[in-house]
Parts: sequence; structure tokens; C-alpha cells
Amino acid sequence: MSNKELLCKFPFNLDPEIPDKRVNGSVEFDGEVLRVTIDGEEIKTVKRTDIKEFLTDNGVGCIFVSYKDKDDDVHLLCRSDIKYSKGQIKQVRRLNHYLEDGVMPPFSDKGEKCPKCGRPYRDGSHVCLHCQNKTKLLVRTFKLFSQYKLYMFVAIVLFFGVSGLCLVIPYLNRIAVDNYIKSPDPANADMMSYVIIILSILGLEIFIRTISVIRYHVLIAASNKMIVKLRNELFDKIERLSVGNISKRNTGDLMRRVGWDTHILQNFVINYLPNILEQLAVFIAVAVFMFIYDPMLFLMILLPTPFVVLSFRLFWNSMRGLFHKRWLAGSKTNSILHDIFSGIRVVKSFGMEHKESMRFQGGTAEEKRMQEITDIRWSFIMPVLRFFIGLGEFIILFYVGNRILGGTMTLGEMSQFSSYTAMIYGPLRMIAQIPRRWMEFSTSSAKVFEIMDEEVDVADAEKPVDIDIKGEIDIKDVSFGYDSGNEVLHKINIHIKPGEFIGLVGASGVGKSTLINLIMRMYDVEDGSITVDGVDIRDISQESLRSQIGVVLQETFLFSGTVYQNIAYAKPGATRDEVIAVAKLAGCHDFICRMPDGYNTRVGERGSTLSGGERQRVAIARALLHDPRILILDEATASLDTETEKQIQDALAKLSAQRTTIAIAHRLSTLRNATRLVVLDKGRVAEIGTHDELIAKEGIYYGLVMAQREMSNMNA
Amino acid sequence: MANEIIKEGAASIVRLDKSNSEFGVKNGFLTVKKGDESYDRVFLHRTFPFDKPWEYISVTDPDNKEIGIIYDISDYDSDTEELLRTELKRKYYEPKVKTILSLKERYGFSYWTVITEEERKVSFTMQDTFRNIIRVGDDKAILLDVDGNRFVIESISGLDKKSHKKIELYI
Repeated sequence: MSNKELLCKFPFNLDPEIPDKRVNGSVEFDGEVLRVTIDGEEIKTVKRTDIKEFLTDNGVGCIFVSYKDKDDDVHLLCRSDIKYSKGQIKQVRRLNHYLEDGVMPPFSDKGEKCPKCGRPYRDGSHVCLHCQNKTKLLVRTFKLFSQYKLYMFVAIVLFFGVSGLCLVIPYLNRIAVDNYIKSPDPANADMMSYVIIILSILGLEIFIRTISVIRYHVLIAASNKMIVKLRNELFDKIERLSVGNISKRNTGDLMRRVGWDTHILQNFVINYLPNILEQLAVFIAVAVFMFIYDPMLFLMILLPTPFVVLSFRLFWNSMRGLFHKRWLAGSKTNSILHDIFSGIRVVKSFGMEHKESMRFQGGTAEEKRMQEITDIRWSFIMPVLRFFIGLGEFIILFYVGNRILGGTMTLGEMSQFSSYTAMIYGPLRMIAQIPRRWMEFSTSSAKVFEIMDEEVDVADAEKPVDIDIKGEIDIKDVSFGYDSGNEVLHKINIHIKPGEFIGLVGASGVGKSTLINLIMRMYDVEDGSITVDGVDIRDISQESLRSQIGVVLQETFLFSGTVYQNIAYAKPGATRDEVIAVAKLAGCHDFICRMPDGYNTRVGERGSTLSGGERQRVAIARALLHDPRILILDEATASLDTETEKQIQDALAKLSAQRTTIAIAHRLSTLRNATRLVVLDKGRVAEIGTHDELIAKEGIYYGLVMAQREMSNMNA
Repeated sequence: MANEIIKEGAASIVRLDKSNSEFGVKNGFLTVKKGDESYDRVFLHRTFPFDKPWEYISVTDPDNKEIGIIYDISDYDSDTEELLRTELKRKYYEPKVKTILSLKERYGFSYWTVITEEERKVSFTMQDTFRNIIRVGDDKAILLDVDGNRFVIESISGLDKKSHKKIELYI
């Protein structure tokens, strides 16, 4: 073994040849020799000069790494399960860079797993929900709401006030019963004092209710302010995250965080936590009082406590699974419904109504069955729980009754104790729910803070510049791969002059859209740089960059609103004349006018249905109104008929004379106005030149043109 | 009618069997000789991985062009059949779960510790557990973990009582 410093080393864990055999292997490369070892034994050495390229092949549940020799023969090096796949793909990319440039790029392992517990992060996140300190979450939640601490303070003081006053009422009751109602000498009882006590009870009740109303209003006011603040902060943060980060998350999950999880936080801090504190205070006060007064009685009250708490826990554990199953059955039925309604045309055109009806009936039958099981279980469990709680009161009645008969306790004291007993069981029932509420809170707050703490991966530079773009784009040695997947673009070099119309051509999946995403800085390049007018786009403020780039994508998105609002979206404050002018240019003015509501026609989710081509034209009008210095068209006219496409192309041609245009199109006729064409193949620039130059070259572009001609001849 | 479609152009199926193809190994990769054509590095793909693991095997070259389909690997002589079986097992690495030692769910992830058929203790994590347990027929299940690894439970009803109770909620 040489003593040279290792430039690259990575482990693997499956025998390359024997299917199920686990091994402890490693691949090491020192710049001259590549060594493969299994369980400490060297099984293969290859000289760097014999290696042309490294390759990865995906199996199912495993990955293979191999190399291509100078004669293009491929040799297998190692095999691993998926645990190592992302790391190996990164390492193979490094090795290939080394073979090309002689320089080994640094190994950046941003990490997909928490370094502390080893658990994987959620998609798009680098915050471990497990390792977040739950108490810190509570403190952070309070800090988040710190500007409302006066509200909280008032609410808590009022909570304690109400609790304290609640304790006084049973005491007054006792005095009323012992001194007056059951007075040993009723004839001499002071009626005035009796009335004062009764009125005091009434007064206290009214006072408590009034304070409760005030307390409720304070909480509502604080609560609404808090949730608005929290939701706005969360939304702002999500908007600042990169497209790459957001697209890894599920839309439903993000909506749930902004809507539901913030609600849980609000509910816990505003309603639940003060309530717990209040109940806890009542519990301690009553317990201390009772213990001092009669320890035996206190112990008897506590006797059923373990049963109550335990029964609640057991009950909850047994029901949780059932509730989950019932929810699942409901959700399955919903998804069947969603499926059928979304695809109702297909269902009807294949005459499958009966089959789908049977499928739906199967779903509802299962839901009904689960509902019955949970209801029956519930109907057995609740009476048992109530019995345990009632048992405590029964024991007390027996004990207290004995003491009254023995003359060691008065009726008033009994009434006071009964009230206190009820007060003690209240918090007990609540204690059983605390773990669940805490779990709910910690889960939701962890999810909220996970987003809040997420690093903005495509962030502005420390001092970003705003520039007036002229349209020169220089793409230098750009390489990029999504996440740690295989490289999508490799060493791309294109220089685009201001005002040039560049057509990007190539088969699906060669990286055309990725290149456009990089120019728009939806992602940051891994290697190389992209400059606009000589300034690296990472130094330009994102707002300045994107406000001067107009984009029309194949999949157009129209917001809920009118056609007018959708076009004017790109330029707030646009005049009606401007909107109509760009609509004419994009060829959508005529069909808009034909609609009964004209430019006021509602589109989007619940609006009128525009055809694919019409939506596309509205989107083009929107991009044109934006008056961008760089115009990007990603299959923008793919869904239009050739005639309409030509009209739009001509319109775009006039516009593109003053701006840099980059267009992707499979239909090559779309690019007839292009000044130059860039042909991408397997993530590399394969050809670059004008239409005539590339035809003369008889390469990939020539092949594509010929294939399309053949196709149109066949269709003609 | 279906046959006419199958025979035409791009839809035609090239059936590979011992009469027209010969498999071998070179540099750790499978090779095939079909008539005059020989391919140095070919890949096998199960077209019905869940219910026909040894039948309808698509054979492709490195550019993903299909060379043909093996209808049943047992159509070949026993040596070739073994070669193909090994190659498929090597590509489809799916440890079989014998016992579920623990299964806990938190924050939308479920954490599994299982014993595989080779008596190996493995821990893995699943996200969106319900969706990533794929039922095959009545009794078989495939578990897909967050990394993309696959674990197979050949018979859910054949699991011991404790293991069964743990997975019961999800099936």
C-alpha cells in the first residue's frame, strides 16, 4: 500500500458478485492507483492511467460503481445498498472531475441525516425534529409571542383570580349550612349575616363570570394577533426558500404547517397552557387544604386516582389504533371518490360505472365496519371510566357519612369537601390528556420552527447589486446535478450576446430546462459560473435579476382572478391600453373579446375553462407586459397549432430584436428565428451554431431535423 | 386483434430463449449473444417485479434499448438459469424480514428494527408509512424506506404474533 495521501475514499457494503452477501468494503484513490478492498483484503487495483471514466448503475435497493477502461470496456468495482448511494454518486462525480482536470473537488457532504441521532431529515429540511429540545421549543414559542406578554400576564392573573375565588365558594357554603341552615340554635341565628353570606355567594358567582368573560376576551384578542403574526412569518419564510427546497416538500404539508400547526401552537399557548396552570394551582391548593384538614380523607380521595389516570391511558392506547384505522378507511374512500370524479370521462368512456360503483361501495362498507367497531368499544369503555371516577366519590360518601354519624364532621364540612373533591377530579382527568397535548404541541412547534430555522439555500449575497440588464449572458464551465443525484449538466460553456435568440435543442431529459432554471437562479450552480453583463448572478439581487427576466413555461399557471388581473400580474399598475396591446401581440385579444365577460372573465381554479392554447397565450401576454430584458420560453408554444404558433413567433421576433431570448422547443420550426442553436446531449453541449451550420455538419441537429421532416411528410 | 398490434413495428416483442440467445459474464457484467449481435454489458429488468419475479424479464443494453424479453428464466438450461437468477438477485437487493423487533412512529416517520432472513438486525426509517408499504396479493408486503431500500415480508400471516401486532395497524 502506498503512503500517498488519499484523494477519495468511500465505503460499500454488498459483495459485488454474490447477491445477498454483506461485506465491509472500501474504494480508495490516491491520484495514481485505485484500490478496492473487502474486509481488509485488497481485491482489485487499477492504475489511474487505465481509467477513462467512472460510472454508476442503479439497481433496485442497490447501486453499482464501475469504471470504463481505455478500450471502453466497463469493469465492475463495487456494490452497495442505497444507504451509501448518494455519497457514492457524489464521489464518482469528484473522481470524474479529477480524471478530466487533474483536480479533486472538495467533498461537500451537506448531510441527509442528523449527525446527532443519525435519523434522516425530512425532504427539503436540515433540521432534526427529534433532536430539537422540546422545552426550548416552548421558550421559543413564548419568545415569538413576547410582544403580547401583557395580554398573557393579564390572562394568567385572571386565571389565578378565578381559581382562588372558586375555592372560597364551598367555604361560604359550609358556613351557610353549619351556622344557619343546620344551626343547633336556628331561632337565634342572625338572619342578616345569613343573607349577607348568600348574597356574597351570588356576588362571587357574578364576579367570577364577569372575570371569565374579560379573560376570554383578552385571550381572543391576543390569540388572533398571535396567529396572524405567526402565519405571516411562516409564509414569508417559505417564500424565501428556493424552488428546489419548496418543490421537495408536499404542498399539502406546507399548507398544513401554515394553517393547522400554527393553530395548534396558538391553542396550546393561549388556551391550554393557562388552563393547565390554573387546574394545577387549584389541585395543589385543594390538596394542601384537604391534607391539613383530614389526611385520611385526602388519601381516600386520591385512592382512585391511579385507576383513573391509568384507565385513561389504557383506554387511549387501545382506541388510538382504532381511530387511526377508521381515519384510514375514511381517507381510502375519499381517495376512491377523488379518483373517480377526476377521471369521470375515462370511467364513462370505458363504461366502467358499475365497476367503480362497486369499488366505492367496498370502501364505504369498510368505513362502516370500522365505525361500528370503534363505537362499540367506546360504548363499553366510557361507563367503566365513569365507574372508577364515581367509585372515589362513593368511598368519600361512605367515610364522610360515618364521620357525620359519629359527630366528628358537620354537614357543611361535607358539602365543602364534596365541592373540593369535584375540583380535584377535574384536573385529574386533564392530567391524563397532558402527554397527548404536549405531544401535539411539540410536534406542531417542531414543524413550525423547522421551517423557520431552514437555511435559505439560494440567498442573496451580503451586498447584492441591482443592475439594468442589457442581456449578455456568459455560462462558464457550469456543472450541476439536483441534490446528490447524477450530474444533469456537465461543463456547459455558452456565450450569449445581448439581443441574441438562442434555441435550446435536445432530447427529453438532457438538461435544457435545468439550464434555464440556473440562468433564472432557481438553483445555484455547483461548478462554474453564470454572469449577466459580466456580473455573477449570485452577486445580483434576486429581485433585480428576476424582475428583468420574463418566463413562459409549457405548464402555464393562471391565478384565480380575471384575465385582466392575470395579464397585469407581471406589472402592477399597468394601464388598460398596455394590457390590451400585449394581449393583441400574444394573439389572445380576439378570443378574450369574444367571451361574454371580456377581460373580466374569471379564470383559474373556479373560473371559466380556457383551452390549453388560450391559457398559453394569456401567459405569453403576461410575460410580454413584464417587458423583460431576457425572455425565456420553455416549450411556450408547444400546445398551439402551427398557424397560431407562427403568429406568436412573428410577434416574438419583433420583440426579441431588442432582448435576449432563450427558447426551448421540440418542434424545431419554433426556432426558425433563432440566431444560434445550442444542441445539448447527455448534459453536455454537443453542437452550437446557426441552423445552416448545423445542417451542414450533419450531426445530432441534422438527425432531429430529418426525423421531424420525415414525420411531417408521413402526416401530410 | 391484440396479436396484430403486438406484431407491428415498435410494439413487436423479441422473445429471448435458449434457441436464440446465450448469456455469459464479463468484467462483472452480464453479456448476451443473440444471433450475430453480441452485447458486453446488459441489464435485466423485472417487468412485473411483484408477482412475476422470474418471468417477463426485459434485457437492455447500457443505452436502455431493449434487446428482448425472457418469458421465463427456466426456459434456459440450468447453468444459464442460475446465472440469470443470481444476476436478478444481485440487481434487486431486497432483504427479507423475518421478525419485527420494534416499530415506532414519530413526526410522520416510522422507525423499524427488524431481523432479516440472514439473521441480521437492521434498522431503517420509513416516511409516509401507509403509502410505502406495498401490498402484493393478500399476504406479501414490500416496505420502502426513506433511502430507497426495499424490505420484503413474504408472508404477513406467517410473522410471529408480536411482529404481526406491530405491523397490524399499517395493513
